[in-house]
Amino acid sequence: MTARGLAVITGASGGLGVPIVRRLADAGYALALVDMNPAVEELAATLRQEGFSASAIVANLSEDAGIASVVAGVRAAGTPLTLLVNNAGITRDARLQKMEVAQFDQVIEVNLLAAMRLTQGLEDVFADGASVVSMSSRAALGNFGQANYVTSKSALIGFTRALAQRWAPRVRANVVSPGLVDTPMTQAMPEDVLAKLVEKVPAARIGTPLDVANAVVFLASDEASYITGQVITVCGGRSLAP
Amino acid sequence: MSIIIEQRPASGLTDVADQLRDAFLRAREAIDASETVIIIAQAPDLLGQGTVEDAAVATGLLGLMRAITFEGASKGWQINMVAVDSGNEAPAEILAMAGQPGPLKGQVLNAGTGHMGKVIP
Repeated sequence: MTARGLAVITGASGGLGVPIVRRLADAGYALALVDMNPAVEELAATLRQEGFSASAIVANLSEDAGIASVVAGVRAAGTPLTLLVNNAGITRDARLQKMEVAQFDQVIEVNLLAAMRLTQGLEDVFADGASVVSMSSRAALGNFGQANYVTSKSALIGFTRALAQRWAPRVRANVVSPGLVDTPMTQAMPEDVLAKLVEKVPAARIGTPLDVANAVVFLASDEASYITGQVITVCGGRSLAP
Repeated sequence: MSIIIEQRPASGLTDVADQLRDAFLRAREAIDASETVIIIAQAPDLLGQGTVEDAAVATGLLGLMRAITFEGASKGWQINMVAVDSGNEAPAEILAMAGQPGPLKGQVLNAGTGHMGKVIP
């Protein structure tokens, strides 16, 4: 079950986190599931009952203690760290003129700084040939009422480009940028609003969490061993369409 | 009149957050005052050729520019980015073009050739 080594996934109990976790489990990774939400412990227990190797780390990655607990957990796992998925993220949407400074700072902290802090904190722990996959968003190309989110997700791409060059050839780093995906967040949208958004997707459907998870697994795999510092936009063509 | 926001070398993660927040606030203030905004970034940092912190600032500023353009293009908000190669100043004629009220919105104007053959930031 652990032929692929250990994968650390942040935001593991979230709408995209769980499908990514399950896809990585199926791909043969041992899992260290990181989340601020204690529900992550239940997720790890469920996976263990299903025969997978999974542990939970409840941690706030905005604090040094949170980073330290993840690093300690990874070292204690005794399995080579071959994958980090920076998936934790939040939104605090508001129009530019109504956005509070705290809303801007929170999103930068969680979506960008926490990912940078954890990735760099794990630098010495990564196995040779390991991979970092960070979750950006199609919105990094621009979106309404999301100056904070777009800034953070675009910055995450720059961070990854620099990381890819600094850590090569030992560790690869790439980005997955999902577009419209069927998660609890999109499920909460009014039906007509969601339908109008789907109409703009050339693939003529909403993305599934598995679409995103598949891109993560691909970038982490040996099949992607010559790919680093790149962005795969999983959006059904939406990033090109009018 | 244009407000110029210039990327500085980032001293650490706190400085990354500070630069992005300052840019957000200054750009918003300029928009409120109906002024155009020009962000000057280091072209190599847009490609991640320097430190991870500098890359995060440069591409974060790029995202901010795009978000503001997306939200405000129809309202006449104007913000552009001038990307300069290492050690170069932003040429006055490109700054003038970036700040000239008109259709140029949400664009990266490269004032060098270091970006050729690389990904589009």
